[in-house]
Amino acid sequence: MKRKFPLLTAVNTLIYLFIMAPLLVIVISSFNPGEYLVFPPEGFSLKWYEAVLTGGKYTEPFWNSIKLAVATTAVALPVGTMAAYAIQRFEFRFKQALLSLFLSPLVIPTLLFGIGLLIFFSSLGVQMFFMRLLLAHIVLIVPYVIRTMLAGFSRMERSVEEASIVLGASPVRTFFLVTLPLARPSLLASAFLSLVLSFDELVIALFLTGPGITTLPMTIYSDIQFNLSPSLAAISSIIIAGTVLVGLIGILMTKRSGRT
Amino acid sequence: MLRRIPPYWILLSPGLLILLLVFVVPLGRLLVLSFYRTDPSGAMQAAFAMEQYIRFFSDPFYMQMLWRSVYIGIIVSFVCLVLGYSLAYGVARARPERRFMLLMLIALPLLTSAVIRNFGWIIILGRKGILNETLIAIGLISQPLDLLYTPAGVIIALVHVMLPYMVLVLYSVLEGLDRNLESAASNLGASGPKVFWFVTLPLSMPGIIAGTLLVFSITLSFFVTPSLVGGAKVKLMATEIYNQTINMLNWPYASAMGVILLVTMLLVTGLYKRILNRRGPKGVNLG
Repeated sequence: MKRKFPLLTAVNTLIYLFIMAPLLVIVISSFNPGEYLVFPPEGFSLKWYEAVLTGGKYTEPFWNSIKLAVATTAVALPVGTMAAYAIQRFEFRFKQALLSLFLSPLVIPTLLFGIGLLIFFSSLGVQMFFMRLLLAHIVLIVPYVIRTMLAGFSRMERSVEEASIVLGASPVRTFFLVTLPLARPSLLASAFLSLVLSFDELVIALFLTGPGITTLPMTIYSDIQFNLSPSLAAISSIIIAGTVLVGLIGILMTKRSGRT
Repeated sequence: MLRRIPPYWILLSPGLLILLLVFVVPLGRLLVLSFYRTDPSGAMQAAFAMEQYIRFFSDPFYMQMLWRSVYIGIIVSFVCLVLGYSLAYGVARARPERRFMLLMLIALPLLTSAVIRNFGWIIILGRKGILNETLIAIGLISQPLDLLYTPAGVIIALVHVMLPYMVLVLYSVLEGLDRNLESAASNLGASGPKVFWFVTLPLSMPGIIAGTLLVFSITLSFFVTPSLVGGAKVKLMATEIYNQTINMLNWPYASAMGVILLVTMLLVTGLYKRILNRRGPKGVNLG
């Protein structure tokens, strides 16, 4: 039996258009040759891409954001994976309470967390701005890693790990040689999620940053408010393309290693 | 020596340490600070007073702001539910090999930062933006609509940011739904709309509740969209909290506003769950 839903399809096509519209508008207006941001563009030119890629004010914030995303992932991935493994594989008291505590940064508004940290770091006199941002990002990302890894570990066959133990491998050896390779799809998914979320984070950065360190979302945020320009559209398009690319690679790798 | 400590504590301790130091303690400080006094010069004084809370609740300006935030949150949740249900239903009914592509189309914008997506809306919604130009060109309106820096514009942009969350929650429920129940209902003579209203919709209640709760909670304290698309003209709790923290440097008041926002969120979502639990179909478990 095959039913069709012509009305539903028509409505959904409009909604897909709604989803894509803002992204398409940015990409299209980035090709405008003129000095001002207009839509539709009055011509076709790649000069703003050239301007953005060969230097300019977005370069340094871009590298700051990359550094932050990589450092966050490097800490949050092992920390979150360890916690998820403990919760999934061991029985102990207060397990549910601990899990809720670990996931609570997803529930508490980032805004509150931002003010709380600003007050906290100021009262301690912590001036290392990169460190401040890094710590905050780790707290925000670890719950995502834990959630993804919990799902991954729970899908895994325990018998393989048990076989490894029975055959004489130590628990630590088993974890590194059996468990982690089996959890590769979830590890990859966590890493991609962490990189993208950390790269895009704005609210915490607005609260915690200080002189000398600006992240890319902060620069874009302030340019949207005070300096709308085609080069802003160009850098935004580059980020859109990069995010879609990273997302697709992540999904494809996760799917492939999930199958084998 | 290391053997004495249970292995799970070793695994949990790095995460717990970071969480306690950088999350629990700062939020505790925030709560404490919300009871501090602000003296006339603007400096804060350690105290245990309700001054900040009294200031908030006795000022209609702030009460309206709180109400406006809740109201926009409810509208956004509802619009997301309608649009999201339509999308999720479509994806769940699509041929399996197309589902993945459709989900990607919905989920990939979720990965793009909200800042950039709002930038797109600013280009679209402006007085001389593409939306107004198109509407005038096809003769639907004669004067450009004011959308940017109005609640309507904020709602449109917020729906766009929140829609993927809603779809993903609804899809996971609709996909697992037993299609035989729908077939049974239509074999027994129920019309298409009747099947949807009496079978599909009640069965997808867990997704509807979870989705709207998720969207409402995120929207209520969402900062980026009100700040960019609403600007200074649409005053909402999130933007005012930021203003009090960064520009006014009145941290005790900002802290109190944050606590009020969090409590409001918990109250509204708690009330909502309660009403739906009482009225909702039996067997629906919120989990």
